[in-house]
Amino acid sequence: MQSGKGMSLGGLICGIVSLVFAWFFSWAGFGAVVGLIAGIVGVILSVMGGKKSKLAGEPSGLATAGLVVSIIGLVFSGIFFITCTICTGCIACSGKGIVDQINSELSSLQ
Amino acid sequence: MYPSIELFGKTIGLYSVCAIIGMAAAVVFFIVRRSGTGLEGFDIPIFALSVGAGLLVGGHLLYGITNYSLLLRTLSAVGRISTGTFFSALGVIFGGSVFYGGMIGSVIGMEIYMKARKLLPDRKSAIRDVYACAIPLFHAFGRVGCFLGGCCYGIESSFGFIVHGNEYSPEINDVRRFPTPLLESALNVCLFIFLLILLRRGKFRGSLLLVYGVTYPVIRFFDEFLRGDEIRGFIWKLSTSQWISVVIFIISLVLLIVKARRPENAPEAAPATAPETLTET
Repeated sequence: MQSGKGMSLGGLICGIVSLVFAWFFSWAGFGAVVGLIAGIVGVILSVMGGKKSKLAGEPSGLATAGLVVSIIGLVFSGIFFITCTICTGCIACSGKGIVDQINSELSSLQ
Repeated sequence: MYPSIELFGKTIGLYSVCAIIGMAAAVVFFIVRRSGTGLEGFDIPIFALSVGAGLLVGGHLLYGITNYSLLLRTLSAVGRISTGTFFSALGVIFGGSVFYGGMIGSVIGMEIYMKARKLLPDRKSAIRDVYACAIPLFHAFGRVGCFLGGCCYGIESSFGFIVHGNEYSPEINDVRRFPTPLLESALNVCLFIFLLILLRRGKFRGSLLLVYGVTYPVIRFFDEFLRGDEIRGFIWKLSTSQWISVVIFIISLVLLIVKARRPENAPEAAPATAPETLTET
C-alpha cells in the first residue's frame, strides 16, 4: 500500500506557502491569488494524503496539519482576494473613473 | 457603516470577513448535520471546495451577465482597444458578485461533486437537504457584510440609518435609508430556522432545496422593492433579481408538485452504513 506521507507533506508546504503569500504579499495584488491557488492545492493534497495514510493504516496527523494550515491560508487569501469591501463593489471600488475611461475609449472606436 | 477595519497595518474589508464567517458557519452546520450524507472527515473539505468554486464562478458570471451591454461592447472592440483597457473592462464587468449566481453555481458545484463521487440517491437527497439549510445561514452573515460595507442599501426612509463618509458607496452617504440588508439577514435567519425544523422532523425529505426555492424568492421579490441601489439592473420596472426570483419560484414549485405526486420516488431514510455502501457499484 502506497504511503500518503509525501502528499501530506506537499499539502502542508502548500498550506504554508498560501499563508505566507496571503499575509506578506497581499499588498502586491498577486499574493492573494497565489495564496488561493496554493491553499486549494494544499487542501486537495492533504485530503488525498490523509485518505492514503488511513488506508495504509498510518497516522494521518501530517495530513490533518496540512489541511488545517491550508484552510487558514485559504481563509486569509479569500479575505485579501476580495479587495473590494462590498459584494457588488468593484465599480465603486475602482472608482467610476475607470468605467468612464472604458466607455469613452469604446465610444471613440464607433 | 464600517466598510473596513485596520488590523496589524492591513485594511480588511468587513464584507469579506462576514462572507467568510458565513461560509465557516455553513461548513460547521454541514459537519454537525452530516449524518445520512455519507460524507466523513476528509470528504468535507473537497465538498466545500466544489461548492465554493461554484459559488465564486456563478456569482461573478451572473454579475458579468447583468453588465451585458459593456461586455458586448468590450468583446466587439477586441483588437482595437489596448490590453490594459480590455482587462480593466473585464475587471469591472466580472468584478462584483451576485447572490443568485453564487447560489445556482454552488448547487451546480454540489451536483458535480456528487456525480463524481457516484453517491447513492438517498445520500444525494440528504446532502441536498442539509445544503438547503446552510444557504440561508451563509446568506444571513453575507447581508450583515453588505450592511457594514454599504452595498445593497435600502430606499430613503424616515426609519433607518444615516451613513457618512463611505468612500466605496458614496451615493449612500448623508441620507437616512431603510436597513434592507439587515431585514433580509433577519428573514434569512427565520428561513434557516424554518428549514432546520423541517429537516429535524423529516418533512419534505429530499426536497428541502425545492422548499428553499419557493420560499426565498418570495422574500427576495418583495425585499427588492425596499432596495435603493441602481447597480442591480432593471428589466421592465422589475430588477434582475426579481425576474430570477420568479423563474426559480416557478421551477421549484413545479418540481415540488411533480415530486409530491410521485411518492414512490421519495427516498428512504438513509441508514447508518459502512463507507463501502456509499457509492454506486
